[in-house]
This record gives sequence, structure tokens and C-alpha cells, in this order.
Amino acid sequence: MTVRFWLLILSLLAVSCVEPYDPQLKGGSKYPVFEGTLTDAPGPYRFALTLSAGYNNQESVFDERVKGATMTLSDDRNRRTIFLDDGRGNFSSPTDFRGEPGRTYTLTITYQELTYRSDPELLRPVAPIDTVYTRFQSIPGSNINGEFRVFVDVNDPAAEENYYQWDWIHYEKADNCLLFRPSGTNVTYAQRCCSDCWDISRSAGQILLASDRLVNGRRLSGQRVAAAPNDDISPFYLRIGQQSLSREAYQYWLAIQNLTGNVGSVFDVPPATLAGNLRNTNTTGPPLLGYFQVSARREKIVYINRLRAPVLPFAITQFPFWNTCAACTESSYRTGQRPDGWR
Amino acid sequence: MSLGYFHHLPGAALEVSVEGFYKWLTGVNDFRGNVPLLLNPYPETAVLQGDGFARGLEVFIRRSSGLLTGWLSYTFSQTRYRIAGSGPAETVNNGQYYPAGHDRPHVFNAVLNYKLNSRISLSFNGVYNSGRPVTYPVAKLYIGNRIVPYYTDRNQSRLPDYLRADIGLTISNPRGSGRRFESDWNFSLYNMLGRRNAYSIYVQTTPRYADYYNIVTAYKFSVLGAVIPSISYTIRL
Repeated sequence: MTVRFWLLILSLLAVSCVEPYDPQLKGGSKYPVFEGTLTDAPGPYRFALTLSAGYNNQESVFDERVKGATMTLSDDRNRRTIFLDDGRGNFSSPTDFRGEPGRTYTLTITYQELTYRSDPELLRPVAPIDTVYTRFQSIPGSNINGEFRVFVDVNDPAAEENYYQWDWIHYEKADNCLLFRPSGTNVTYAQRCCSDCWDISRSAGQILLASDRLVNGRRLSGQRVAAAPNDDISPFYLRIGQQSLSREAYQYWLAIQNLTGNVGSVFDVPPATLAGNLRNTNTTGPPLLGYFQVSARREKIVYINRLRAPVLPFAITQFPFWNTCAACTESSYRTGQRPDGWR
Repeated sequence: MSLGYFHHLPGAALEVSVEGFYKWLTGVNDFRGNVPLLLNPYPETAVLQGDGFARGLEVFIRRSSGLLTGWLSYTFSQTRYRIAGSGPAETVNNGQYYPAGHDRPHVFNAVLNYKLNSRISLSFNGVYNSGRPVTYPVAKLYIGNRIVPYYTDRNQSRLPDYLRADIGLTISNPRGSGRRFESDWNFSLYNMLGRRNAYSIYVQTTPRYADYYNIVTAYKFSVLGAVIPSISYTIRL
């Protein structure tokens, strides 16, 4: 019976296929989309308004920028803070402004003569990160010789339900500041940086969440937050951030995780409208999508000792160095500013 | 409730029927949006209940004698669900009627057999269905360095239509002198058009690499998307 079953499955696999398909999805009216988190960490805070686009390869969410919107934050003591617009849909708080735990914040956005208001959001405190530890994991068939998986433990407060979100940022001394290929050659050269320079990588795009539903008041342990590739023996700098979430914000991020994780199987999560906490004051008007998140934030800087790896590190490609150096250009991937806690 | 008209035409060996139906549905189930089904310890929380209706018209023609036998049928139908719970999480499409997941407005089937002589016959099986409903994103959003599909109403688009044709040739060896059993050789082609009918279509985004924000892909998954030949030998004692 088992053999027949597997023969049937194999024969089905042999004649099934997955191929690209164009369902001709065209973009209709564009929805404004908010993204931003207010925390109790030092500002300034940057909030963004983008516009939706059709779900196809011809349209981009960056085709058109939001212009002429205003963003005002008010707290439960009626103190108002106006965010500054850079004209491209990016808004910044005043430098000295900072969220306070225990306060409730409401965000008001005006755009194209419509007003949107968030639900009042409480800045809930968050427990500190208790322990950070790693486990080495070999990855067969990978071009890196394994990785150190990074876990955190948190002592969860008993009093209330808690939801957690993590992010990380990694700095690494830049080996070079520019790769180039002189004309007439097929050799790639690297130019060393003229000054101290660090490459940056982030957890951008990863959704790292947990709820204390099963451990309320005890230790929330073994939360995997990052991985350090086994590509060098130098200590791996990692700054891990931990934020509090409301139940609604937790569900919002879970929904995003579900919506972006479907693979066409019968076990796919049935799609649903992504619900945020920003509402049009005119209930019949178009929605503003996204979520105004208010979180307390704690950070921890760790160095991962990669000498403990049971296998040799993967040797990354080295290019011959050119005899002049290149400037360290500030970007979201590179900085000349010494990271906090760098040693 | 159904109402039909049946007519027999003995001269042409034909039976013809036309039937309309309407059915009230209660306690219909559909999935709650954004709740995983796989390994869900509380699967009952992932299902919503509502009501609905199914209505349609069926036309059926059968010929049961002569060299050419078989039947043709065509059905036009609509199945609609309405799930209007106590809150937005228990409601689908704002509590309005929407096409059920198995709704196929047009279904055409043809089964034909043609006897070439006393030993050899040809058979044909044809199936045409409207594609079943599917929910496509109406937009993409940029959130959390991800391109996120944005959905509004459920089941407002359809998969491509399903079309399949199969043919077969049967050679019979009748019981005769010295033969103690009857046997048939059957040669057939399943899905002779080789059409890759869609089982599902899904969209995918690139979750981690925000630089490629503009790349979104849709894939069609087909099962049995090839011509499948078969040979069989049947013995009848």
C-alpha cells in the first residue's frame, strides 16, 4: 500500500508543474500607506507615507511620492508634536522629542483634504533582554560553512499579556570602500577605505515576534532573532532591539507574515484585508493603510565569538587591492560613524 | 426546489432533459481570513459559518443506441455564500453574497463512443469548466521592508478555464472458438491537448531584499499538466 501510494505521488509530481503566470493585475486607486514606530528611545523618529501600487511588475510603490500631507502627534495631556515633511513622504519628529512609557499617543494625518486618525496607542513598557546566546548550525549544501544562530531569553512580567518584537543591526569593519574594474581589463580591484568605515546589515524584512501566551510571567526562552554567518573568525557585532507590542500590533505583524508567506498550497493562509489602526474620520471615505505602532524599546549589544565554530569559516572572495583609497560614503549600508559599543 | 422537463425521442434514440434548480443553503462554512490552517490546534476557530444559495439550469442529452452513443450536458449555475458575523473578523466581504470557492458558472461535459466495427470503438471525453473563484491582491504595499499584497473582497476573480479532452481506442477480442474469455485492449490519451490546467495561482513577493521592491511574481500550479498515454488489457471470464 505504501509503495503504491508513493508511486502515485511520484507519478503526480512527474506531470505537475509550476510556471510563471500573469494574472493581469492592474493598479486602481492608490491607497496611502503609513509606517512608523514611536518609542521611548532617543529620537528623532522617522515616519513614512507611501502609496500603494498595482500588484504587477510595471508599477512601483515608489512611482509617486506623497506630497502635501501633514502629521501631528498628540498625547493624553494634549501636547501636540508636528512632524516635519521632507516633501517625499518622509516625516521626522523634533530631535528632542521622545515617547514616554505610560503615555497614550494619537496620530493625525491629513492628506488630500482627508483626515485620518489613529486609535489611541499606549506606550507599554518592555522587559529588558535577559540573555543572548548562540548555537552553531551547519548548513549542508550552503556556500557558508554554517552559522551561529542567535537566541534571546526574556523574563516575562506576570501582570499583563505581553507581545514582543525584535530587530537587529550588525556592523562590520569595511574591508574595502569601492570595487571597480579598470577599462580594458577583466580584473576586479578593491579600494581600501580612506578612513574608518563600517558595513551595515539589518533585520529589515524579517518579522521577529513572540507572545507570552504560553509562558505568562515565566521565562520566554529560545527566541531566535538573528544568525551570524561562519565567514570569518572575528567577533560578530550585533545590536539587538526588543520592543513591546499591543495585541493589535502583534496581530497586524502576524497578518503581514501570513500574507507574504503563501506558496499556493492547500495549507496557505486564506487572504484577508490587512487591518490597521488608522481610520478616516469620514467613515465612508477611502482608508489609510498601515499601523501606527507605539513601543517601548530596549537594546543589547553582543559580540559573537566565532572561534568556537567546529568547522573552518567560509573564505569570502578577496579582490586585489588598488593602490589608492576610496571615501567612506554614508548610506543605509555603510557609515563612517563608530557604532555604539564598538571595540 | 427544482423543476424539469424530460423528453424521449425514440426515433432518434435520444433523451433530452432541461432542469432548473434553486437551493437555500444554511450552515455553510468558509475559512476565516488570515488564520493558518496547518497545525492549528483550534481549527474550529479558522472556520466561519453563514448561509447562501445555489441556483442554476441543467441541459442533458443522451443517446443510448446506434453507432454513436454518449451524452452531453451543460450546466449554468451560481453558488453564493453570505457570512455576516458579529464583527469584522467574523464577516466576509462586508456580509454581502460572494461566489463560493467551488462556484463554476459554466460546466460542459461530453462523453461519446463511436463503434467503428464490431471489435473496435473510439471514445471521447471532454470537460470544460469555468475557473473557480480566486482572490487576487488589488494592490501591493511597502511595509516592514516587504512588499505586502493587499486584498479586499474574497473570490472576485477566477482561475483560467479548465479544458480537457481524452480519447481512447478499444479493441475487443470476443469469446470465440478456442477462447475461454473475452478481452479488450485499450489505448488512451488523457489530456490529449496537453493543457496545463491551473490547480491554483499564487502570488509571491521577495521578503528580504527590499532593493528588488518591484519584483512580484505570480505562479500557476498545474497537476497532470501533460498528455498521459496509457495502455490497458482487460480480461473478462
